[in-house]
Amino acid sequence: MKYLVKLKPLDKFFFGKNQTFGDDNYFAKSSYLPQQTQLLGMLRKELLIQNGFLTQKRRGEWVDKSKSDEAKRYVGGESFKIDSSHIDLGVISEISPLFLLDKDDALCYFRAKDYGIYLDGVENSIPDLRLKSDGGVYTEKKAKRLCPKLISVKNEYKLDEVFIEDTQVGITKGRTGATDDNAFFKKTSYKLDKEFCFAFVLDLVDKPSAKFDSSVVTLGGERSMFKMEVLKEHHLSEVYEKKLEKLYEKEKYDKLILLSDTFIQDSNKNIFDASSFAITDSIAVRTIDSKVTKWKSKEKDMPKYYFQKSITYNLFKQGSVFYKPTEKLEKMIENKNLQNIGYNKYKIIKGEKNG
Amino acid sequence: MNKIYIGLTIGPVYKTLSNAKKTGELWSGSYLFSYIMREIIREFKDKEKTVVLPAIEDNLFLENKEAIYQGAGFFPDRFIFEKENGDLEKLQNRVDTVIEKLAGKIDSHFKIALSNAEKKVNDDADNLEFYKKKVKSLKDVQGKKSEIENYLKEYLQIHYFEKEPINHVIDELYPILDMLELKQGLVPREEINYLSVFMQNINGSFFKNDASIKGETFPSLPFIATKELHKKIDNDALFKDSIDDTTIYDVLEADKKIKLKKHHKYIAIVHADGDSIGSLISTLKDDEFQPFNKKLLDFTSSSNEIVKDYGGSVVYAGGDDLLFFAPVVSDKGHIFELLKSIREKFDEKIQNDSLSVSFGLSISYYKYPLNEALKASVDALEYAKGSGKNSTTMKLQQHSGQYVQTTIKHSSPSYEEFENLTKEYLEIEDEKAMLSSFHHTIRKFEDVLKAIGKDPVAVENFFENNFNDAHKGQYIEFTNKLVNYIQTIFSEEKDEKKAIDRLYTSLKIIKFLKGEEI
Repeated sequence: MKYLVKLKPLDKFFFGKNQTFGDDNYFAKSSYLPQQTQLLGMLRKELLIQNGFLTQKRRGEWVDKSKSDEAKRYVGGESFKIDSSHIDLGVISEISPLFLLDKDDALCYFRAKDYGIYLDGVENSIPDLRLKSDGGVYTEKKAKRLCPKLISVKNEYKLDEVFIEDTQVGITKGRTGATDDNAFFKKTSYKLDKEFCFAFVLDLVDKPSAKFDSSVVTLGGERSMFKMEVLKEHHLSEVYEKKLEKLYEKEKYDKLILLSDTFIQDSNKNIFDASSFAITDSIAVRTIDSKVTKWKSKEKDMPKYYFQKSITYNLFKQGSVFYKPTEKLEKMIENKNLQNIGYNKYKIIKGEKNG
Repeated sequence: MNKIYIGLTIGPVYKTLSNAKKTGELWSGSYLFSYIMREIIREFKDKEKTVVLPAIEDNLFLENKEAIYQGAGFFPDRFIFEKENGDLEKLQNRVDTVIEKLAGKIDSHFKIALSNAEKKVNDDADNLEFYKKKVKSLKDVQGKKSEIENYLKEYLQIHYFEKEPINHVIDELYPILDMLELKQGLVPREEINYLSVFMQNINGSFFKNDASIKGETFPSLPFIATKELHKKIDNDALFKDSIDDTTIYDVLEADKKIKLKKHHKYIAIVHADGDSIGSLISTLKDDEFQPFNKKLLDFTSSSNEIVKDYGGSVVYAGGDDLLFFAPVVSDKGHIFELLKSIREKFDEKIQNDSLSVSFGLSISYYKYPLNEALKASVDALEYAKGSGKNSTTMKLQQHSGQYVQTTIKHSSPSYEEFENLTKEYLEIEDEKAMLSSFHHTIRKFEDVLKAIGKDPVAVENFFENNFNDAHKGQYIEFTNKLVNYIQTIFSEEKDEKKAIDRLYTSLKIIKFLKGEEI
C-alpha cells in the first residue's frame, strides 16, 4: 500500500551534519534535508509506537522481550548499514527520496548540479561546457553567478525563500550560575516557509497489515518536531517519479541525474570511465550502529546495548550529473538495499543526440 | 605546426581546507597541494622557458634549511606547459611516483609521531588525556603505507589533458581546467581518514622541515591574536599544542602585567588576490609568461615576509593569491597598515597601473569555526571584486553573532582618511573612549548627519555642541580627521543611508582595534 507522507515542521528544525557541537565546535548549521537513514529511523519508531510494540516510560523506551519477535516482523531487527547487501525493513517495502510540496501541492526538488550550463561536446575526454545564458564557454568565475534553486514544473524558488535561517546564539552557565564566557554556541536551524512542506512516498507491505496513521513525530538527532500527515491512495504516490523526471530539461546528450544521495562502492576511475563527463559533489554520511556486549549479573550473561557512530561513507550528492552514461554506470548505482530506503535513485534524461 | 600544451589541476583544495579545525591543519592542508605540485613540476623544471604557469626558478625547489621560500606553499594548484613527445606518459608516471613517495613519508611520520606521543603520555601528566587520544588515533594508522597510498589516489583529484589552442593558450586551457574540477571523486568507505590524521599530527613532520618552519608548533589562533602581548608573557610553554585555547586565555587574564583587550580574542583572516591578472596573462606572448610569473612570485614572497614581520602567519602564497592569519593589532601596527604595505609591495613588484589587489578581511572570534571564518574571508574577497575591485571588504563577526561589513575602494580619498583616522585614534592614550560615545549616537543623530554630512563646518560645530572632549587635548587632531572623514564619505556616497552605514561600520572597526566595547 502506497502512502504520500507529508511532514510539516511545527517550528524550526535542525538536521545535523558530520560536524556538530560534539566535535568541539561552537557552531553548527543544519542541512536542508534529513538523511534517508533518519527518515527510516523515524518510520521504524513510529511503526513500533502505532502498532503497540514500544514501551515508553520516563526512564526510557524499549520493546518488551515478549514482543520482540513480532516487532521485528514490523520493523526488522538490525541497524541500517550503507554497505550491507540486505537489511530486513519489516513492513517497509520502499521509501522514496524526500522532496517538497509547494502551496499547490506541486512537487519541488533541487535543481541538478548542471543548472545554468550544458554540455556541448566531449573530445578526447575534454569537455566543452557552455553557459545557457549566452552560449559562452563555462568558467568558474561566470558560474558563481548561478544560484542553486528549488524547481517545480511551473515555478522556481530561491533556497533562502523556502528555507529561512534561524540562528540561535546561546550561552551555557557554570555551576554557580555565572555565564561561561567560553561556552557560547551558535546554532543555525531552518524554518520552512509556511507554504511548503516535506513529503515522501512510503510503500508498506500488505501483510502484516501495519497501522500507520497521521501523527506528530520527531526527526533527526535534535528531535525536531513535525506534523506527519499520512494520505492513502494519493495520486502523487503513483506518479511522483514521472513528475520528478519532468523537472529536468532534455539536452544534447543523455544524462544520468542522481535523484538522491548515492553510494557507489568502486574506484573513481571506474565510475568516471563509465560516462563521458560528470559534474559531481559529495556528502559524508555516518549512521548509528547499535552494538551489544555482554556483562555478568549473578553468574549470568546479560546483554548490554550501546550505540556508536559508523565509519564515514562518502556519497555522490543528489543532483550530480553523469553525461552519456553507460549500462556499466547504472549497474554500479543499482543497489536494492539502498534504493529501498531512497538512496541511489536516478533518472536518465534522454538527449537529443547520442555519440 | 601549432604548439600543443598540457594543463594539469590538483585538488580538492577547498574541501580539504574546509575540514580543518585548527590553524596547523589548515596550513598543512594547503601546503599539501603546493608540495604535490612542486614535486610534479620538479620533473619538468628544465622546461622553464616553455612553462606558461606557474613561475619556475631553482630556488623554489630547495628544501629544509636551504629553502629560500619559507613557511608557506608557493605553488598554485595549476600547471600549464608546452608539450614535447612523451610528456603525457612522463606526467602520469610522475604523478604516480609523487603519490607513492608521499604515502611513504606519511607512513614514516606516523611511526615517529606515535613514539613521541607515547613519550608524552609518560612525561606530561598535565596533558595526559590529550596525548592518550593522540596515541589511540596514531596506533590505528601504523604500518599502512599501501592503504595510505590507495586513500591518496582516491581522495586527490588530479586531472590533466593536452590541447592545441587555436587562439591564446590561457583563454582556451584555463576554462577546461575549471570544467575538469567539476568532476569530483570521493573515497566511498572511509574507515580512516589518513589525511586528517596526518594534518592533526603535523608537528615535527617532514612538511614542517620542508617548509623550513622554525619551532615545533604552527601558531595557534590565540598565539597569533595575542602577538602584541608576547613580550610581556613569561610563560614559554603557554602556546603548546596540548594546551587548549580556553586555558591560554585564562592564564593571560590572570596575569596582572597583561591588559587583555577584546581584540586579543579575535583573529584576522585575509584573502588577497590580484585584480585583472587573468585578463593581462591572456595578452602575453610565450616569452612573457615566465617573467610575469616571477614578478608575481616576487610579490607573494615579499608579502610573506611582510606578514611574518607584522606577526601574522601565511598559509598560502602562490600565483597572485595570498591567504594569511594575522592579529588585529600587533606591536608593528594594525591590520589596515599591514594591508597597505602589501598593496604598496604589489605596486612595487608588478609595476602596472592597470593592475591592483583586492582583499577579503574577516575578523572573527577565536572560537568561531575556522571553516566558517575562512568562508567569510573568501566571500568578502568576492564582494570586493564584485564592487569594482581594488577594494577591501571587511567583515567583523562579533562573538554575539552580530556582524558588520563594509567595502572601501583603495583609490577613494575616504580610504586613506580611514587609515589615518585609525592610526590617530590608536595613538591616543586616553581611555575615555570618545569615539564610543560618538558611535552610539550616530544612529540617534542619523537624520542630522544626513543633512549636514557634506558640510565640514556644520559637522565641526556638531561635534563642538555635542561632545565635551571633541576639541580638547589629545582629541583635537582626531576630531579634525574625523570631521574630514565624515565629509569625505558623504561626498563619495550618493545614497545617504549607505554613507551612514559605512560611517557606522568603519568607526565600529576602529573602536574594536582600540579595544573598546562594541
